[in-house]
Amino acid sequence: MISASSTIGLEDAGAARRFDAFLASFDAAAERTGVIDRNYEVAGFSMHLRFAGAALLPEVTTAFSHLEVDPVADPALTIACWDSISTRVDLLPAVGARTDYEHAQSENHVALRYLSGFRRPDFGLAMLDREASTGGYWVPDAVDYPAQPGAFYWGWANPLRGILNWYFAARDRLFVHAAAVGAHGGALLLPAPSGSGKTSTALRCLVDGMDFLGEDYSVVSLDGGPAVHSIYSTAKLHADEYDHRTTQVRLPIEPVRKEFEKYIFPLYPHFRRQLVASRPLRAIVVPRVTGVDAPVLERCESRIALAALAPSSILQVPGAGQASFSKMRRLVTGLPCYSLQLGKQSERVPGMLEGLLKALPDGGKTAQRGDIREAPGA
Amino acid sequence: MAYEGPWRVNAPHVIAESVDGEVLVVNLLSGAYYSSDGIGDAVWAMIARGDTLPEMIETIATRYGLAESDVARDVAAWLTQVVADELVLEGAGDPGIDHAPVEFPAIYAPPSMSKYTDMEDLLLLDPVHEVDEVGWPVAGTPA
Repeated sequence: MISASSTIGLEDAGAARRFDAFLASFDAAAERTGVIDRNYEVAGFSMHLRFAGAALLPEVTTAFSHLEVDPVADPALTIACWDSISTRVDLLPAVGARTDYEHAQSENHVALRYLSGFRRPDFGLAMLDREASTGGYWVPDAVDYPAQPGAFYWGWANPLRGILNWYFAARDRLFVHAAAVGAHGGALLLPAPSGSGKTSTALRCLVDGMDFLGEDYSVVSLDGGPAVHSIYSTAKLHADEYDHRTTQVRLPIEPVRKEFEKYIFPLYPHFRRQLVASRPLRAIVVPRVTGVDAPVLERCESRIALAALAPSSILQVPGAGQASFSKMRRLVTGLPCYSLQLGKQSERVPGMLEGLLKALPDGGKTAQRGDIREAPGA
Repeated sequence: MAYEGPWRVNAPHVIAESVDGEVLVVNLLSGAYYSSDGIGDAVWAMIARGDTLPEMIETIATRYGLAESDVARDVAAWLTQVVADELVLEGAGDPGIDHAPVEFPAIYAPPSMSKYTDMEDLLLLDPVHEVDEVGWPVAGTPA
């Protein structure tokens, strides 16, 4: 049984009761179905996932496949995962009503022990006891989500996002909305809002043989030198574009789910040799779609990188606030920043980024090479 | 403008960071974010440290050798926007909070704030305004 027992202050007794009831609901479900265990190392922390039955297993574990490890004696983080339809066990009444959870989002939760998050896309409920490093992720139905077309690929592509962000926030880890690719022992962070060419750039680099750490979300650590950590090994491509072969990159694998607005592609095991867990972070590259013929990579000011990184990261990750924002500022001001105009000749992009990493072996203090422009004042 | 300060940043719902002479502000409630231009970064820092409107006008006019009436017009226009968007609220902030230093650009330009709303949809996915008292979906009947 996952236990959340420890000293509980009066001010959070209600939260503690709800959390204990939440995990007791998992125990009741697991009693009917049995428990399936999976173990991963994510951004340097061991994560133990416990499933009540197999229904939710593929949704949650596909994205972590490249990070699976053998069981450890004392995992840093344990998360119970289950659904009610397949287990035939409702949440206990003491968990509360959905309305108890729907208002919590994007606040500064730093001082709280118990965190909960509810988002419409999967009607799921996530909770974390930060003191005990135990949490739970529950959805009503692991198979048939409520009718919300277009939204549910998040569960498959980026599972446990809220819990992991809450957990990492107190441990020198930033959960960021950014792709990351690598070469020559280092990596580049590619922050950009959706539609800026972030995914296509990262996937083109992957297909071209570069190291890959993520196409949409990554984890960054600052202490001991900035590093980027892979968290998900899934890729998302718009279904319409993929079916009509208008995507900029074709993957030599089939999607694992095709019923969503975006197809979900499991990059593991096909690309397992390129799916690296962590790399020192050498620079930040901000991609954007432009109509130029040849792609242009040039130095830019830190503020450009912060604007690309911070709003979308903070607004997409429940619980991120001023502390995360300040760390992002520290990150962009400590690394060289570049803008990447994605031109029509996008096949040249991997070579440019690989060349940039080759020119920045010591963390970005060396001069640029070749077709990298120095921006005025950069 | 009738109220002449001080104001305080609408924390924790509004967060901000300054870099390269620009302040980037995110409103976590609305999903809108803002970037400053001109002396907007400096004015934001003066707001955060609790300056009143007359204090800001005097500081800026003296630094750049401008007429106070011109500065008052520019700053008041800027304040109208940030107050309307609830980035700052009337009343003094917590005196114990450390504030970023006030750094002025070499050349004066009126403070401005560009507003971006392209990420508001991220927040609208959450049903905070469409809540029914329905509780959780019910599981299947136990066999």
